[in-house]
Amino acid sequence: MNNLSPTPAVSLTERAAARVTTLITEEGDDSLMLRLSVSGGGCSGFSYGFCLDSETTNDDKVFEFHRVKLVIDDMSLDLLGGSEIDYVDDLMAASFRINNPNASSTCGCGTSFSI
Amino acid sequence: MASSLFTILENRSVISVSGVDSVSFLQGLVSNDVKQVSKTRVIWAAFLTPQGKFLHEFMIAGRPDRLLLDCEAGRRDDLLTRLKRYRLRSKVEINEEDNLIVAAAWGGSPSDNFTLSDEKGAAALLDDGFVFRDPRLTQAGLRLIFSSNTIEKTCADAGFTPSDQATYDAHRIALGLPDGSRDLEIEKALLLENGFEELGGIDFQKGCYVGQELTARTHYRALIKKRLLPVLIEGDAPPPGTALSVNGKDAGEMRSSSGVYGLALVRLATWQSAYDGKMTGGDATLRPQPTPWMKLPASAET
Repeated sequence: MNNLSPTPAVSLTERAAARVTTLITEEGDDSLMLRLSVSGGGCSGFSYGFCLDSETTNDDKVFEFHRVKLVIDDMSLDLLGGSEIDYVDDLMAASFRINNPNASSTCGCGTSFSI
Repeated sequence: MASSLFTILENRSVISVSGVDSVSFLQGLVSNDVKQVSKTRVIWAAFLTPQGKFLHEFMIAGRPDRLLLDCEAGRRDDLLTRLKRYRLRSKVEINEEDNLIVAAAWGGSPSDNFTLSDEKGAAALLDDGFVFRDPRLTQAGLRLIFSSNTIEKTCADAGFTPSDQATYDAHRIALGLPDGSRDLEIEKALLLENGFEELGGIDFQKGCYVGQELTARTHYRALIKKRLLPVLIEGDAPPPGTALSVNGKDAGEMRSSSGVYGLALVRLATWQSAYDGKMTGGDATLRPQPTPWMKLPASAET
């Protein structure tokens, strides 16, 4: 837990924002935001979670990139500081990817990491 | 007839995990399927590093309001710290349960006051505690998690006579059952080297948990080169950590012992020749005694 980024900040690539915009349009609810969270568990100890959410709480931070709102709670942000959220769509897979500088290793499927 | 004995396990203690997320929280962290835990079923599980190396082992018993972990007493704080690190926003409370103690009861056929089914891990929640069959092996006997002032009376009323830790250890070691970091080297030991598969400590279908990737890989690719085996000791028991050898070649390492019984992590390539009384550690000769539950490769590679 010692290598956390001193200035928690995240970024969302244009490709990721475009994908989120598509998903929000499909849901038909303009108030939706992308919520990114970290929970304990998974092959490497910490797992990423994505969902669309229209509500925020007091311990959430809201960012905006390419007209998409990204919500991350304080505790998750501690583990995500400096991360870049990207969306990759190639022949192998279409998925969101998180390049997290706090992660010393990730599991094979990329949904969990250790610090 | 063998006598029926019980002993308070001073080297074990209890922590509780409570709250609405307790099952999902532990499910993402430990090697066994926490959803199997109920008032009538206790499981054995391990908590690993992300690289799949041993950190802690515990039995998980399920009260309606919380899960109880019967864990290594000397390293309870370490387990608490590590579990809390993964808590984040999960709705769980993790607490020491200092009023609860653990006992083992085994041998003979005492008047069984506890209406338990015959399966390993079968459990019964009584007024002031839990009694369950050891989830690893039925021959291991019973285990109890009770408040400290009633446990001895409960065992005595059930027909068990007080005994000591060394006697329990001899019983445990002869059955090949590991006990915490005495037998499982921290951040080194692999579950499959130490019988967790045969002893029901791993669920290969449950999904991801910390250390799952290496554990699954060693299982599906059969990469195990050493196993924890009971050994009969002739001479002074070598202290834990003593290097063992066969004809001058490294053959493994000593673990816990009690009297003439010990556990040793033995290289599979050497154990069959070591059977001829050639395996030594310190001044003692060690004879591996694999137990019937162990699935060892038919002919180890050399």
